[in-house]
Amino acid sequence: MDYEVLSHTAETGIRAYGRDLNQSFSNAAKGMFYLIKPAQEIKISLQSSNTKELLVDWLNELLFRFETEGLVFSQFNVRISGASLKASVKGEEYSPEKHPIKTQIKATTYHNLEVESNNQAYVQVYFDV
Amino acid sequence: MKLEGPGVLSPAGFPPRPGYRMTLLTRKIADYTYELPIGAVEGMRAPGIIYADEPLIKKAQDEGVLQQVANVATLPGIVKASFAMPDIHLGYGFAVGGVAAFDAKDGVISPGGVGFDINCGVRLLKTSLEAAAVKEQIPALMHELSRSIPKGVGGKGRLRLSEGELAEAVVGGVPWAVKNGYGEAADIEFCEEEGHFHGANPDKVSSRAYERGANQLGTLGAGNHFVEVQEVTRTFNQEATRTFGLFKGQLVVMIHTGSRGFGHQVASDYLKTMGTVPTKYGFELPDRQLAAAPVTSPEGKAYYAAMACAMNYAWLNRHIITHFTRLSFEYIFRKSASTLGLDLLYDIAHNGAKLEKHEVNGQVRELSVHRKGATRSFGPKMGGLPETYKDIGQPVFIPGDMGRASFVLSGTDESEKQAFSSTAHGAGRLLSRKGAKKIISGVELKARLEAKGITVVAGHIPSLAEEAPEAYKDVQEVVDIAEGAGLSLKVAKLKPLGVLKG
Repeated sequence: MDYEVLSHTAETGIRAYGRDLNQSFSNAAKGMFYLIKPAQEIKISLQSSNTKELLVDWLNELLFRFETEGLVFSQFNVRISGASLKASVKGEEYSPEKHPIKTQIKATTYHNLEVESNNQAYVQVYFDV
Repeated sequence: MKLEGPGVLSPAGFPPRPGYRMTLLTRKIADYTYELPIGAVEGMRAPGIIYADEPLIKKAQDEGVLQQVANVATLPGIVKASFAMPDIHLGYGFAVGGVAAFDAKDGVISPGGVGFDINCGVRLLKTSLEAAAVKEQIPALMHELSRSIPKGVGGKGRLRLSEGELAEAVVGGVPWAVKNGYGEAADIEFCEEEGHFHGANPDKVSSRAYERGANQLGTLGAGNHFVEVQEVTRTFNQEATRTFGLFKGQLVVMIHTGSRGFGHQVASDYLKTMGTVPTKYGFELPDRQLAAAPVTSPEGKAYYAAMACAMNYAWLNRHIITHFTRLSFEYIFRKSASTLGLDLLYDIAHNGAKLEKHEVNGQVRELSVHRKGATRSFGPKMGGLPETYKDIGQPVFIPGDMGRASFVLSGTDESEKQAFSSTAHGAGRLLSRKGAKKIISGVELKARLEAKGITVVAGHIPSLAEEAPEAYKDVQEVVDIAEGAGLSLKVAKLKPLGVLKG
């Protein structure tokens, strides 16, 4: 948890956490902007046959949400267990003035897809644009 | 040891798996024609045929494109060869510019062989205007087109359709739109398949595709899609030019877009579910992106029925954009669209899988013909063309980059003998999008084009650089090879005067 909102009769407050003071300060700012304009939060739950398929499903799911719900996401909290995923994702409403789009992504492909979970974890993915 | 390169799944082992690269050496078999023999990769059931000149075939060798051509040749039921058109470049699964036909009984249908933008295509609208006489009005016209045609990412369409109406629309295609007051009845005849792909079943389309497609009908999108106002600067074949209703100096409008989020979702849905299908039917894929199912299997039939809906969505999309284009012309020139001669020359699909009849070794066979970044190129003998074009062959449009030119060609009977009546679809990329941005910025590019007298309206100027002329092969080379190989014949050259991008 990055921060929690504290209720108070007259004021409103937050308690922000972090691994060190740097992160706690960052999270305090994040919390303040949450109070100013709450981010929209959605939950995503996916089940695939393996982690490679899961990666494609995950990114395609976010693309689908972007196109249909008009949300641009900036915060992602992902928990993977086997080939299933639970995530909480935060974002805000898309507005063309505020979010000039650099690249239109049509879909996530299976081209040269890589998922490495040992040692230095990395994933590699190509998009159709 | 790690083996690299697309499609290489495992070290050789024994026996090697399909797609394992043996030797990708081509040999010239005719002018502009190279063969990639069976055995270039493990499991090929037919050779690869690449239409190219020497520099192009050398480049293909470097790019790993040949591996993709060979991979397609491993799919069950492939007939004759895995073909690559002269604008070939690296794609996902199939190369862009790939053509492959599979037997309708024993062969497969592959969402990867159609691509994500199902029925991405091009149409050309004629006018009776002389470009020279209206040059002053082009900037205002481009501005008006940009106001009336929604574009860019998140650009919402001006049509509001319920899921039920959309389901009707994607079954009915262009005739549905005409019935509902968009466009002209005459437009129907001048659309490939008359803008109505048969076999569409709206129940095979996911609710996600309907959600994505609901407010995108009649929108341009982004990327390489465009509306261009062009001038016919050169004609090559007087009879074809006359038949197509073109003349030197004429103002025309080219529209290039596809099936938007609706088609992208159909492709993603079926690519996902078809992942395990090959194992079920006893074949192995060299590349996951080539996911395929037997044409006659329930999975294959379901994809075909959903793809057909997306084909119709794309035709509708270009048709609705045509409607807005006509309104924009009427507003700027203060004359009716019919007085301005805004008639449809033709509309072609360059991403799709169609059931077509072709002659193979003297026998007429029903085939599932995949064209991914390739255009149908029916000559006079193939039939199924508008009465007006029956002696010339179908019009083919090859859009080039926005700084140079585009071409109108005509289909040939020779292309039927060669490659199931197919030809190229565009200039073909030379540089990646990132590579293009290193060469020029969007602002510089816009200024340079405008200095050449080309009005540019774009939703996002920095992205414009991705489509810089330098990023593409010269389309002239592509059409020269296509003509040299007999796949299509040059009819007219078009130069851009105004460009609208997403």
